[in-house]
Amino acid sequence: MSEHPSFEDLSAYFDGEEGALASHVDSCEACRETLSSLKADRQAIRAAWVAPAMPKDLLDPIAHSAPWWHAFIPELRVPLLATAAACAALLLWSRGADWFGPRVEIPADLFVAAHNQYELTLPLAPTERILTEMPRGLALGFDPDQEKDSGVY
Amino acid sequence: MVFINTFLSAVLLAVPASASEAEAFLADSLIPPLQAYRGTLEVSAGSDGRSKIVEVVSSPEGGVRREILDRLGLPLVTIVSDGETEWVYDRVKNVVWKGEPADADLKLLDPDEEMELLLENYTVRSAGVDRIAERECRAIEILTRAETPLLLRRICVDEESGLVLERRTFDGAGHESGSVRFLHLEMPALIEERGFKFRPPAGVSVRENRLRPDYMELQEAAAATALTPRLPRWVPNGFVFESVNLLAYRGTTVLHYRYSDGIDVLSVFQAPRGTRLKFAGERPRSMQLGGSKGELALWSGGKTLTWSSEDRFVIIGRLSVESLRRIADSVPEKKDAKNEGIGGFGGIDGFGEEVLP
Repeated sequence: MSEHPSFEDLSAYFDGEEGALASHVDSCEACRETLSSLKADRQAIRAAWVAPAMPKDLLDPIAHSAPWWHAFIPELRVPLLATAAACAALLLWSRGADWFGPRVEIPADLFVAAHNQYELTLPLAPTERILTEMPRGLALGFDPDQEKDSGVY
Repeated sequence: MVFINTFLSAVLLAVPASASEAEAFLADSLIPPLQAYRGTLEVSAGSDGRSKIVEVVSSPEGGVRREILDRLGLPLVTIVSDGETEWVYDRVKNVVWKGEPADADLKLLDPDEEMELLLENYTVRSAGVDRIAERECRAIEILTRAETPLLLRRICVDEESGLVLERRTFDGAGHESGSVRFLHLEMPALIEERGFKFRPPAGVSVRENRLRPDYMELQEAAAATALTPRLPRWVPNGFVFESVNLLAYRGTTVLHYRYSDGIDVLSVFQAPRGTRLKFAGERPRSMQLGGSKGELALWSGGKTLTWSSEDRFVIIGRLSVESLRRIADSVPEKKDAKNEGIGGFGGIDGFGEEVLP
């Protein structure tokens, strides 16, 4: 390369993006000076990034400042906790059995079986029809082990 | 059984001479035959004409054996009762259930009260002579008391024994909804009682915790559960509150309020809050009720409506959807039921007083 590379090309070389300029830079004093200048600039910029320490007389008031309502927290803490506890208790009282109480799932066929069993006590009950349609339903007991057998016959 | 025979005999004798012939035959049909019989029944259910064949043997001592056959004529389910213990043997599942047979005594209404209730709600008329299973029988029809009477039941009673040879059921639209009919019947002089004893086959699992038929008065039931009984304030005309039964499932007690109109029954169940129903097969339809949403399911014998109103409620019966909704809407709030005492009314002194407004 007979001519000097442009400043942009040297900057790219400095950033490691223009490896082809290496032989020219080795032999060109002017270009090495330009690169030295770029290096100095970078160091100066990096040095400028270090944030100066906050003066202590400024930091303390900021750290200890708080919204106005924070001042009431110690006084409100007990009533707030009590209100929250009361709300929770009320919720549990009104809906507690639904949420945490017994959640039993009973096969609908068991209710039908109980209904049929009562129907069979009628003098004109269609006994054979009921027995034929639901012999297993009639045989069902209110017992969890039989739940899997709760299909209508 | 002996008690029923005696009682119903008294009812039969008590039917005055002026009472219609049909009512006398109906009363006759309610007395279990004093003769043993063996026969083949055709049982049809639903409008699609599905039918099954059942072979039945019965003794006057209370023994009954039923064999429900499959299409090839092989036993599918065997139900055997000696009057004390009833066995249901499901050959497909290879399971035997042991329990107590349903009995007309397992309720508060006496047979004569039930007959009186039936005659109060329905008209009974003679429909001539018929011939079923090569035997002469009297046909009796039971109709509503409406201006335009609707046929609900037609039974044919064997003139000789009083045995019902055919029983046809009709729905509110006049369509036949089911029938039981003898195809063949014989009345041998003697049937060996050992045929009514059952010994589970080896290797078959036996379960002894079937639903236990029982009944009690409302006060007893209320004392046995933490539930506040909440009976509907409206039930269809003709139905009377008859008795309560307690059902237990996984530590949950369910109240079963039982209503009768003489030929049909209506069940209202009350279970603690948190109880849910698990429907097998087709999903129930959602249905808007007065204060909540309900779920309605149809099955071959009627309809099931369930909803939650603090407690869980279930209604089962052969009623219109509108009637089910009206019953549901008439169930009082818990606080009202508490204020009014047990379910809003007292005990059972006579069915006449128990018709709810």
